[in-house]
Amino acid sequence: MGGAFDPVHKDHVAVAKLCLKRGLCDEVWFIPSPDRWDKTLCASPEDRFAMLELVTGDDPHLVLSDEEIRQGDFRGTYVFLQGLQSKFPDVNFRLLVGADSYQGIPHWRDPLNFYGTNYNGHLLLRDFELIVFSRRGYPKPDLMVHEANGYAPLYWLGPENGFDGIYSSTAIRKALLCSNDKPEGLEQCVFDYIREHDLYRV
Amino acid sequence: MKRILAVLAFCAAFAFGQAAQSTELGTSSTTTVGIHLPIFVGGALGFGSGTGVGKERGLGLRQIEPMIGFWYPGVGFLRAGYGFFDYTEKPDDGKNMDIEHSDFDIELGVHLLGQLYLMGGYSRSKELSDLGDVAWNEWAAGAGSLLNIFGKAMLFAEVTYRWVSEHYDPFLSESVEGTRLQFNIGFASYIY
Repeated sequence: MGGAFDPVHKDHVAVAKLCLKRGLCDEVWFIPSPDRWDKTLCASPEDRFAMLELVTGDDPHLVLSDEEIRQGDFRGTYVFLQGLQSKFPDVNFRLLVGADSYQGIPHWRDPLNFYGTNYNGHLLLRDFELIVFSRRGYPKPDLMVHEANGYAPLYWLGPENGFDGIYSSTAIRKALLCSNDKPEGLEQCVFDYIREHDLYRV
Repeated sequence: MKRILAVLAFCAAFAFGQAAQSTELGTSSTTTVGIHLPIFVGGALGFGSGTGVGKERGLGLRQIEPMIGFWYPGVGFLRAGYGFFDYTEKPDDGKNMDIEHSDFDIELGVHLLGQLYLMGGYSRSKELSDLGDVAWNEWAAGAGSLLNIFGKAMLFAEVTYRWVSEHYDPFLSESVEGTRLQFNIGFASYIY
């Protein structure tokens, strides 16, 4: 599961555990991104990683990786996954994304080529299997169209499978900015970390 | 599409509305006259055959492009254009997809014999669709000729050979690379 995790919330963990429960994968790797050229992140990679450490706990099937952070620069999901696949050739990686992100994948850019004006989202769809989870307000992907387009297999996790994503990091950051109370969707340990390190105040 | 045609119509009206005035850069009735600055606006339509023409190889519309630049009569030109248009394509076993095509072009030309010129150019092309966005480069070399009309305006026709850089075509599900023959017709009008 790649992403900013800015900050990590209950849905991130819930969808990871559901993937394991439904046998969609053997392990879920949380791989927070470094600072990105296409998106302003509020917390440092180190803080986002530390918050993930708090929620993944001791579960051996929830793996926390700093592979992408250690890269230093943001290379885009496709290039990163290719690198991951080369490094671990015996592992079949599936990308776990929300229905909101799924819609945008065909338009994802390649930051490494031609000043970031090339695209590689369609290559990601072609080369990597996806697990797409429900996000409220976003439609379920059309699995038939996805297959007809020649993309790699897609597995859906929606309300019918016991998951309905309701939290978003953006909404949580806004709530943190406007109130001293713990926003719904944030684990207490993450909230304590945020307050302790005075994050998301600006 | 309507927007592009509106721009072209505006440029055409502007071009044909020019009246011949004093001759400065122009030298005779067979060349453009009454030009104070070699800056022009115009537009072109391009039709191609070969790589990058829709899903199949064949004859097709490649370019609808307003342009602006410097065109020194009898010497040469440097021009830049940006154009876009939409069309619909049906992938194999998939549903119809709307595609937004756009081109950004920079072209340089040198007059050889009067109205005849040699030209070269670079294009950055994009095709955006829900199947997958793609962008690629094209390099062009060719020749053209122009016909002066109404003193400050001219029509031109060009044939270029274009080298299309490798890119993945999500509609063909394969990498595409090759060449294309392209025919452009257009007009230009000096603005002052």
